[in-house]
Amino acid sequence: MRALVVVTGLGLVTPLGTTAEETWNGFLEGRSGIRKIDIFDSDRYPSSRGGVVDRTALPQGTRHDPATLLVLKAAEEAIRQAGPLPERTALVLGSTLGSMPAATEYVRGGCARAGLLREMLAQTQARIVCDRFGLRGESLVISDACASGTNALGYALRLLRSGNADAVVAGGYDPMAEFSFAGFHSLQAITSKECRPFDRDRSGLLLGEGAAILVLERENGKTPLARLAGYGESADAYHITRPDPEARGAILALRRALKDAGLEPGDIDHVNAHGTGTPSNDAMEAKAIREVLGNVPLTANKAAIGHTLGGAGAIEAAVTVLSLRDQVIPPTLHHENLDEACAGIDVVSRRRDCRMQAAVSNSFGFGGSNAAVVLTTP
Amino acid sequence: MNVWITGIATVSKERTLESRQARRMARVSRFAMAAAGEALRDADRKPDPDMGIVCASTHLSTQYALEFHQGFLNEGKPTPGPILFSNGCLNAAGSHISLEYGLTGCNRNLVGGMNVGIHALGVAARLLEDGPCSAILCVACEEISEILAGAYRKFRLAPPMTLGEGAAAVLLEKENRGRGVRIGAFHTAHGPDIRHDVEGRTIAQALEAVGPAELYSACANGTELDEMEKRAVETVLPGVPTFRVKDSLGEGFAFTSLAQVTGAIASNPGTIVACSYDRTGDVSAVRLG
Repeated sequence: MRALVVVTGLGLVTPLGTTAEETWNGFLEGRSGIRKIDIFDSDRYPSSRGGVVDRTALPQGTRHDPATLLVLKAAEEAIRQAGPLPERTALVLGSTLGSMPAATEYVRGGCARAGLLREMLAQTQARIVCDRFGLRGESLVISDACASGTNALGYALRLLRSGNADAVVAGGYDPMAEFSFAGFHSLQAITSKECRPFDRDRSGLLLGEGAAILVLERENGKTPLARLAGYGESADAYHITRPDPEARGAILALRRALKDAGLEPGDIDHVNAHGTGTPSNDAMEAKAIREVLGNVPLTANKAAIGHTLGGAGAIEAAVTVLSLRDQVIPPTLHHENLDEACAGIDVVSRRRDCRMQAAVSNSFGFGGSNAAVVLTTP
Repeated sequence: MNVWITGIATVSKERTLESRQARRMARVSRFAMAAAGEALRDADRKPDPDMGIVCASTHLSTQYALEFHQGFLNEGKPTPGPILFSNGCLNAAGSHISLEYGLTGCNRNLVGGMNVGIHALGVAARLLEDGPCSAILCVACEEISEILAGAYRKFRLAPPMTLGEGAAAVLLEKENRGRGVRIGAFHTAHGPDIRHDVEGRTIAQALEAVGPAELYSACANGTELDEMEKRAVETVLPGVPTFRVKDSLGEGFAFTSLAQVTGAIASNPGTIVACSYDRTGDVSAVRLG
């Protein structure tokens, strides 16, 4: 029989707050963490807004870059909640670009400070987390674009089931970086208005920054927050940046996650959607959810905090854990009118209390990486 | 582990690719694509949709990342080319391979230090054992660019590091089709900064965890780390001959980590232990055969 894997600790740093409870309350209250970006000259761009974390609430007086501070803060909260960890505790992080602001600083400074290039590497953030918390198991960084965080949780689940780790500190992060801001502008994916997932007036995404860390362990007597019951992944093999409009890869990942969890579509009570607010991604995701799960209540967190890239999957999985804990679905900010292309899904636009036992969190990254996790009440 | 390496490839020079995508790819992705194709040919296996890709790199395309930066920093273009951006992201090489061969099993991209090639091999083997893929291509790739070479010059390593570039690839299958090499054991862990581990304990633990060997494929990168590796090998694998790829390939980070496996398999049919480590304290070791 397979080992049951549970969430024993959780940490969140987002534009809505620098703890899990602050963030959760922000989502429930329908607050927005979107504001003008002032950490670089955003006025040069068609849109200058995004989700930026209150940097004054991050640890001060260190030489660490913002990416490291985000992930350290989230890890500290999660590990404190989980309590003592066994010796073979692994670290699995997801990040799209590591600490790209350090690379930008390197180039801006005429490539003089080579140490910045080392700081940029995602493995540097992993090393700092391992050394800070004394983690001596496997240390891995997954970079599957926007599916990185979810795939990190999926790999962690496998490590625990196979006995290759006794606990895993897993999650994702990405800082707001001018590199990705310019990049998503160049892809014409960023809206100059609000991010409105699944809405007929949606016109693109807004970027954000943040981190989420979950401590995962085999069931061991600690009081769990939720159970990580299943994981599925797939690749589109369709286009280097565009999702497959037929949603074949997304459908496959969802079906694999359900099968892995030993659940039927009718068992799923809620979906925390990838919901970027771009026309093509939302239509694709709606098709996948409709086809696999039917008309399940769903929410999309990116409208409130922006798209946190490598952090997104882990943040949304963490929010799903809190939804299951409190039996409430937070609203999808700015969603008013369901788009026809997304018909047949139930987008929660006002906070909804409901009984839930199982929920799915989806992530789809460009390059065609699809991932879904199934979380259940303990 | 019930996983076999059925095809290998080591590519350290640019090849002409037939793929239309290749024109826009960063050099590192072209290396990766060439190695993936050669590993499939070596295994005499056609790609199928249930196959997956696991791709590792330490820096991926620093050249494309630099050019994209120059676009918005120096030239003042708020939206420089989308091709530079999408190809400068860390999952570009794996995604191109998935796209080229229609691989939908998984598209897993790993970043890490000098051990990440062997680490990727272990991750790929685990994914194949536990997951839905019919086979997995595992690729590790690196490119040298002016910005990367300049940065490593500034690190003033003693003795200086000779950089290398290219890609290594292996095809992993669940069954041996005649001439495969079995992955016997895999171990990876994070230890203290390797420069402070004078006895090479983390490396020794990794070697002990994967077991005995007839040939040792060394990380031996010609920097100050070698003495620790030597001590660990003398303790755990005394008298076992050592094989080095970096003498001929240079320090290719992720690439040369996996090339320790492809090179050793190509030269020796016996039991091989390959071990890679990074200054961050990450160590990965695998036993083959």
